[in-house]
Amino acid sequence: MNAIASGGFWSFVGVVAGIYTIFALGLQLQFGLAGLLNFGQVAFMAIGAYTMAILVVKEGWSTWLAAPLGVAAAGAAGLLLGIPALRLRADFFAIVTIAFSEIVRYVATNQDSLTGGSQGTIALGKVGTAAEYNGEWERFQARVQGWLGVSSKDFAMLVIVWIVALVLLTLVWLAVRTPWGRVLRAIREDEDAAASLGKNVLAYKLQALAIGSALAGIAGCFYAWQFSFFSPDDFAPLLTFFAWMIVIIGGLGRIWAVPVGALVFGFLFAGTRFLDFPPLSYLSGADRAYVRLIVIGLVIIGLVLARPQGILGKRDEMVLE
Amino acid sequence: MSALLEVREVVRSFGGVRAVDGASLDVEAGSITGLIGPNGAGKSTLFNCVSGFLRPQSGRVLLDGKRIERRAPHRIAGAGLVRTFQTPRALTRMTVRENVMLAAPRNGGERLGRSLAPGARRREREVRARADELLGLVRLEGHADALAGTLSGGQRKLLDLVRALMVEPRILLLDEPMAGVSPTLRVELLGHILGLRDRDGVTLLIVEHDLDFVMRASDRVIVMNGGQVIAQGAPDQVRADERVVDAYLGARHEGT
Repeated sequence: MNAIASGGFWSFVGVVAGIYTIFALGLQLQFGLAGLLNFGQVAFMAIGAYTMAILVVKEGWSTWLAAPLGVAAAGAAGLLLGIPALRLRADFFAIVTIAFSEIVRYVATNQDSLTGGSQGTIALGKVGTAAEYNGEWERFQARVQGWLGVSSKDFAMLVIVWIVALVLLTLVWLAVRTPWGRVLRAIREDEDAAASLGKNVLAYKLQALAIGSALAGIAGCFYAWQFSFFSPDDFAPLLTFFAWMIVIIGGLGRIWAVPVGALVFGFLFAGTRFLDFPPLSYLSGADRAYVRLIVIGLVIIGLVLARPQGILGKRDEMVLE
Repeated sequence: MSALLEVREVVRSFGGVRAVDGASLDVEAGSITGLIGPNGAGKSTLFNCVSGFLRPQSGRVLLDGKRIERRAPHRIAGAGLVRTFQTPRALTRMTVRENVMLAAPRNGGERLGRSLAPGARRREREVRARADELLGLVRLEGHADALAGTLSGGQRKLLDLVRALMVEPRILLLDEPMAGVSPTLRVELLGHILGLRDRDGVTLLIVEHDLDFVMRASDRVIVMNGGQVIAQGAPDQVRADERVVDAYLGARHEGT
């Protein structure tokens, strides 16, 4: 039970929830607002993380240059995928995105010379450099730690991640309240109607896809810094569905539902690690790990049954034809 | 008289069925043109070809002398040709006012880069005022803040109409504007449509099954059957045309 009491653990959970917030914010923009069924969001996270890591470790770039480039690469990948794929009907587009995310993962696994292959980024450079990139991020994190006057590195990361998340949430929230956001919502409702009123549906979908992908790229960079090194298996399709759970639990189409969903989801995932009281403590550790997943599943089913519109969603919007 | 919209030999088939089979017609600027014909005559397919939602396999469509048959729907709407749909397309989870404001042309705020600029706010206020004015015209102002999904079928029809007007069309294509509209509303709607032509100088092409309405409102009536235009002219002329009676009642009616 010691871990529950330690602030470090909960800081870690908070950092992960913050990274998920940024990751799922991209999906909220794409699906919650523009109606795009993106089942491959994790691919853009991977592209952001790998681009940053490769440029820093193999090419010796500055972190502050490599990270924006990683984000830009994720956004550009969204654009490149969208140009052909967004011409497909919604359900076919969904299939293409999930295939794309698997292609990215398989390329990362097999292109050893580029990505380090299945060993992950630890194989990118010498062991030391690969783990902490070029140390620039760690120094920055240490400086923030100094400003805050805290002893925990994770707490400094928590503050950084959530400041970035709040800035991004505010920007997206402002943007969707403009006429631009109104066109996105109209496309979600009925793209033919939007086209008949003179709106360039494809251009708006591409924008939503690219911005959402870039957000996933930002989440990817934070993921890379938080976990020091990563491998293609970190970007399995399951992560995309974590983002889906977050937006559905929080409430579709509502920007501030994303951090709520991410926190509920993050703490649900982490909190259930401590289910070691009777009668669960009679089970072996391995059995408890499965029981934990069952409990998470039941809680999510319960949440969706009780509030199908999500925690912050509006019920009357769900029943409209 | 000059034709604002010209359709020339348009062909569109689905599988083996030629839904539109070489149809040609003209819509004069400033007129109301009724387009009638039995079910399956190709009226809606022709509408889709003209508004860019379907690409004709052959033939031409000219708006003000410029070819538009290969343009995307939003570019055709931008050029001033706006259509409504047979079943109203209310954006249900947006408010009635948002539905109308969405349709405003030249709204710089719809560009991501400019959406947060101060100029965009000014245009948005104009758009809002115009939307409220149009909603007042069809007496939907009381529903402006309600979600469009709460409107009745007839009200959605009116919403579709004012939303299309918000685009500031030069030519408006209405697909069965009277279907599902109550008799009292019909009279009002007829008034609005006549007003569009007389007051605002909008050209209208209307597909409608209510022949009484078509004959009363139209300057010219075009009749389609089997994907082709079989007759056109003034309402009285068309009403008397034997081919039209045949198309509607079947060719053997004269014996009875």
